[in-house]
Amino acid sequence: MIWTALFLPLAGFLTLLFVPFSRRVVNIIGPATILASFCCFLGITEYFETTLYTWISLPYLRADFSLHFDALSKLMTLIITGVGFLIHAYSAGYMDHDKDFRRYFCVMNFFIFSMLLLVLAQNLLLLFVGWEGVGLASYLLIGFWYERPAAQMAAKKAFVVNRIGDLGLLLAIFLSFILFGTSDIAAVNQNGQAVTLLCLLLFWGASGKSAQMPLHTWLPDAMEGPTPVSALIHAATMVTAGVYLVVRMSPLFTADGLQVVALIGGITALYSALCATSQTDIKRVLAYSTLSQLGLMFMACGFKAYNAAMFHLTMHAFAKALLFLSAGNVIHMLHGVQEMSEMGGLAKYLKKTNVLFLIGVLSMGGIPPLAIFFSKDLILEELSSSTPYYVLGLTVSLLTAYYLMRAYSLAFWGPTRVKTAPEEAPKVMILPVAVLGVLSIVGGMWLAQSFGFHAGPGMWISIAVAIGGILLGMAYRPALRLFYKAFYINELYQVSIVGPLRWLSSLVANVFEPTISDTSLEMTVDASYKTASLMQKMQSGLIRSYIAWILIGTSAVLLYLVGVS
Amino acid sequence: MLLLFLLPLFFALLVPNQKAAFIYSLAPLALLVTGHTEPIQVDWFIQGAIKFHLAADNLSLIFLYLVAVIVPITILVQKDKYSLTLLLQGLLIGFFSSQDLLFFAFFFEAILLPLFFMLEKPYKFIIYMVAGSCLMVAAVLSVLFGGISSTVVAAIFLLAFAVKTPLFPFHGWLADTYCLAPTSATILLSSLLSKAGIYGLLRISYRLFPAEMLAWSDLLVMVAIGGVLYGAFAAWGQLDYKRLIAYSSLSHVNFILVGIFAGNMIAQQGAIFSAINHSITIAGLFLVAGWLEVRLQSTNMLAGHGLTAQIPRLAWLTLFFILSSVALPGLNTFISEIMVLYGLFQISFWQTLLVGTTVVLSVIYMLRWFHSLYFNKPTGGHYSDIQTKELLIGSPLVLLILWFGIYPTAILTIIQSIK
Repeated sequence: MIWTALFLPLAGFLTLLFVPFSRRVVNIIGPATILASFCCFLGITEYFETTLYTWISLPYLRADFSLHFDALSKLMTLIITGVGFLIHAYSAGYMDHDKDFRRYFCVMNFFIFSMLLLVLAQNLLLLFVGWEGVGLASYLLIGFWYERPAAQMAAKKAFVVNRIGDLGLLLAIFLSFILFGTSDIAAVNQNGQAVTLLCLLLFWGASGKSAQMPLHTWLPDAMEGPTPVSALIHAATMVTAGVYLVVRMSPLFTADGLQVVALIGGITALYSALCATSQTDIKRVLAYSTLSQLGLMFMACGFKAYNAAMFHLTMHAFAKALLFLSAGNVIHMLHGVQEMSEMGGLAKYLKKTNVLFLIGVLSMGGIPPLAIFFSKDLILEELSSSTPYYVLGLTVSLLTAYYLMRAYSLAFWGPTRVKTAPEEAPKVMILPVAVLGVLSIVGGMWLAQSFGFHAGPGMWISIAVAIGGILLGMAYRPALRLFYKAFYINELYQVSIVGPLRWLSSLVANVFEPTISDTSLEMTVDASYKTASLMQKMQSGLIRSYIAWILIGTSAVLLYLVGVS
Repeated sequence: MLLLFLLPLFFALLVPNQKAAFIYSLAPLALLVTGHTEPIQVDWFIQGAIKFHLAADNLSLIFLYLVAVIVPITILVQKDKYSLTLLLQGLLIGFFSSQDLLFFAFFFEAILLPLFFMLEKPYKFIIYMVAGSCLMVAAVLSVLFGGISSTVVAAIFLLAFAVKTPLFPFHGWLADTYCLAPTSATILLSSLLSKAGIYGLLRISYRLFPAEMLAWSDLLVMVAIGGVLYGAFAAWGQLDYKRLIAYSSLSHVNFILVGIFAGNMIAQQGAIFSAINHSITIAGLFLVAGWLEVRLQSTNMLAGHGLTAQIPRLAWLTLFFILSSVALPGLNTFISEIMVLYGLFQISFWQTLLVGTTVVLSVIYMLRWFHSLYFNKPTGGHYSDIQTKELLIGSPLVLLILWFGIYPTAILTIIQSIK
């Protein structure tokens, strides 16, 4: 059953890659494989390990193609296929004008397969296959509209920055083989040792995929992809892979390692919350918000609150997918407008979307009893053991409620700035979003018990903060250039890293290379010419010089023989 | 073995057309698959001191298979001079199976002969090759009769193999030669000729002079790492995509050399696997580059934009070979690359980190090429997509890449049995 569930999306990918189906069939195959896979995962009730075959049969780098199914993998697979199915179904509506719908669903199915492999893999090498697979899918989907220059730049950036993170994970895998002789996750976790270098390398890998500082720059640009892609890959699933990795390998993390995780998470959470307050593009607000929430999850991990992190991951998947898809409705119905300055007053036209987006805002903002309230409060409670982190967490919550309300009121309230009145989105684009809306409302109440949430006095502070943020967002909406440009970090990287490296490459290609190639050749040719002309000089045609050469030669031989004997 | 060696030479004499040449060139593959590799040994000179001795152990077999697979593919993209390719095939088989040093050296030089006639402006290439190996005869004789110190002999062999592979900084011939040659010759050079140097290192340097090679290990690893990074940066700075692939090949063969010079078993096994994978992948890359060149009538990266719209199949195929080249897990290069890196990791963390940056750099330069042609606003002009024939030519490479990436047990067993 688990193999069926895993390989169904792969089968979907291969079918869509090779068979030119019509749009109607593609719209069915794409979501259907994911739904079937979801049902399979739902049906698996026991936890087990299973092996298909030996993938790398080397004694020193052995890796089996084997899966490990436990509570954590089950949660992840259900999020991936559940939210994944809703987004696939939604995509049928969103991509209805695009001629490349087959390529779209093809890569989306490939993504689901890779992501499932990532969370099911029994060893780190196999996990790495899924890890890079989702990176490839993300690259292909960010660059889906290949004719747009911004999209291709963003795709390349995402691939390259992800690869920097992947190098860290690869080194972590090597270190795990050196230390423990295996990369089997269960074996590594049970060995009882925690090594700071190993967990730092793992976190390096995690921070690439989950876009934590300093490898965060690719995620806001990744919004160039179609909006359902942003919802699925760059909000609900792929970017949470880093959190999953840290939680999965949690026994390995030392106190020093956890401090780094909490610190980086905290910095990213605050930094991107500030950036989100001044964005003008609705998708970029959501992108920075995702970064910020991921930072919050890592902070929770840093305090060993893995349950809280996974709870927030799940709730965030619902609420952020909801926000992205409602934003997708807006963008689709306005024919590609993403700047909030060109929206305004949309509540009148997009009545259903308006309600759905508002649910998302209130839920993400932490208003009880909606979903995020529970998970965020659980994290805040765990952070309360350290005052600086608790204050940081509260600030981030305040900012979250603020910038989401700000975005909502800019887009849906106030005077309308659209040229022609938009229509409400079609049913296929409302229904999946409505399901997510329901989940974002009741998800927290439904799962709070199982993740260990309990009401405490700190709850009232976080409620007050959330309401304060919402109210502030309604009233006060400045935009700071420093925040809008994300503290100029992109520009800084451009000047300090990309620029010098590019200069070096052109130096090598245009200065060193021609010189080496030509000079070395000239030297060879010169040397042979000189030898030849030296030889020529001996053939002078003068008897006297020949006699001299003969004398020199003979005496040299004689001297040598005398010397030898 | 004798049949394996002589058949291509005999076929070359028939001066076949393309179809016949293709069928003839499959003969070695058929012989290898059916197991016709019994050794042949004939005394030739000085009472058995020099023998004509061809035999195939597992190390030879790997390279013989590569010759048997790659040569037919190049014949299919060739326009003339099929006899020369068959001649080269025979000589390469002789080279990879010679057990006698003198014949090894003879074939090492003899493979230059057909190449001289297949390349455009081959002088730079030939001068380098001859300069690299001019002292080799002296070295071979000194192995037979003694006289020169073994350090000097080891150095001479190393120099000859370094130029052929090429090890940085002996690569001055590479870019121009790869770039000017017709696609088929470029594939032969990058895919097979570079392996002559690598095979030589494994067969001669490490078997005859292990002490010297071990002593030079640190220095050589650093030089090869320099070559990996230098090649990557040189590729990044190119404006011509055929040159870009040429430099990516330089970077990758130096990566193989890192594995060989690192000297431990894991890295060397990884290097052998890397060599196989490099042959397959670089052949694929030059194949698609050749098809692009036919369509664009140029190898300039700015000659076209947004080609995905018109030639989607070629775009997918290009991307596939690029992904193989940048070592995406699930494809062939990944496993060999982690073997080399892991072998090196046991020696030095920092060297691994340094050479590991190629994981990032390779993506940068490869995507630069892919994006400049296939992304952005489509340019005008009509280009026809690749058809079934081209897909069939590329399919053996695609299948090998997937096979070695997903189910590598067979090949890994063979590699582990070497030494």
